[in-house]
Amino acid sequence: MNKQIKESFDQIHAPEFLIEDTKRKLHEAEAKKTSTTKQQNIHWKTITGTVCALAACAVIMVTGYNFFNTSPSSPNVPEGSGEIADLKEQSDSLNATDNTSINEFTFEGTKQLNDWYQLLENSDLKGEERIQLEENYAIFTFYYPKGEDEYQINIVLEQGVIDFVHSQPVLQGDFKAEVYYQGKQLTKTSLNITSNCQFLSKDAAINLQDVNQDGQPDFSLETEHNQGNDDTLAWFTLDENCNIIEISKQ
Amino acid sequence: MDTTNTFNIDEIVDRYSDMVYRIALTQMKNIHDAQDIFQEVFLRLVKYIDTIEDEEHLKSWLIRVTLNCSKTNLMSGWRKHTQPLELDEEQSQILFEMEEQSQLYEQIQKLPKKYRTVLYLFYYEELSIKEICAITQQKETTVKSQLSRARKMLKQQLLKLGWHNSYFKE
Repeated sequence: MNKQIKESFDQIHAPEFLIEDTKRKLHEAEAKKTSTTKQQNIHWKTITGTVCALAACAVIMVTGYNFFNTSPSSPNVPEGSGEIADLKEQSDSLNATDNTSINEFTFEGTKQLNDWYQLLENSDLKGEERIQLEENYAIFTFYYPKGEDEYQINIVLEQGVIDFVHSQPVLQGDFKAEVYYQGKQLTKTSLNITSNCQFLSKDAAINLQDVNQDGQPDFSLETEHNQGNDDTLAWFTLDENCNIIEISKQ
Repeated sequence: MDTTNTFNIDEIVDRYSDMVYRIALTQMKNIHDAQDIFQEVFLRLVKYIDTIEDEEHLKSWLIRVTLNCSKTNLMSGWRKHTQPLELDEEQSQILFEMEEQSQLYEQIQKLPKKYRTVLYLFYYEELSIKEICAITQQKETTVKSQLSRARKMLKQQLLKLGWHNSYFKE
């Protein structure tokens, strides 16, 4: 019987046009991925360069001020005068700008998908076990193309606990959806997933379900039951400003 | 491990195109949907390729994602409102060398989806029960019983078509 089954399936081949078309699309996707990374790098370099330049200016100004202040020929300026206060203000505002930029362009300490996989792989699973997560993890990441842009959407587990039940991870914690565009976080929304979630399959993730009446995409976050059936944990949609709005749980 | 340097996407498509297509077709029973699933699976691979560890992981990842994508597609709201083409129309586009192969394929496609899945993975991909369990996330006893029922149902269907008992000797 297995010989016949083999011979039967042997007759089925993916059409050549499909293979070629897929390869073309894959190369486009790869190019887009690389260009997004490059754009992110350029952003980083621009920010770093601007911050460094501003910092250098501040140092020159402070040094120059100190030089003239200590110079016998320079007029004495009392401490706490307007100019010093201004410089301090400038320095403070530089620090503030620096912090803001860093916060804007990083993932706010959220560990990425690979780190999540790594954590699961490295966990020594022995029957029943509980791990308290000290960091935030993106447990699913997917990309949503909109026109020529591409948004990255992370489903993040904050203050999470993983219970290993029969060597399978069951997650509890605060689930949030983060939307990024070119590495910049646009929105962060709490998802109403309060029940225990059993993530049995790493790649059973988020699925585009439909496009709603407003032309916006509806997504679902899905995982699998023990029995192998799908379990839809949450449905949500993106509004035109890329805010994630949870619709309802099915 | 930096996997992006070790995997070439074109080579992966060449190597696994038939496998992904066969699984998608077995699940969807529709050439056009199978082609959509095919592209979706490989496009997902571009996103997740950094997480693939080795060849074995790649193969099981592709099988699992093809099954998951098919399942999602079958459940989608859009699909519930559409009427698939008859199997015969679709099958006529696959050229079988022998009538026997065509009949067997047709009867496999008539089995429930879960039976088609295990049958294909076990007999064609020659995966072990343990490997099928890992991919389909089912218990060993479940997979074994699905395989046994699939064989039984297929045998009954083929006997009705006049196949001789000798075909079914293992």
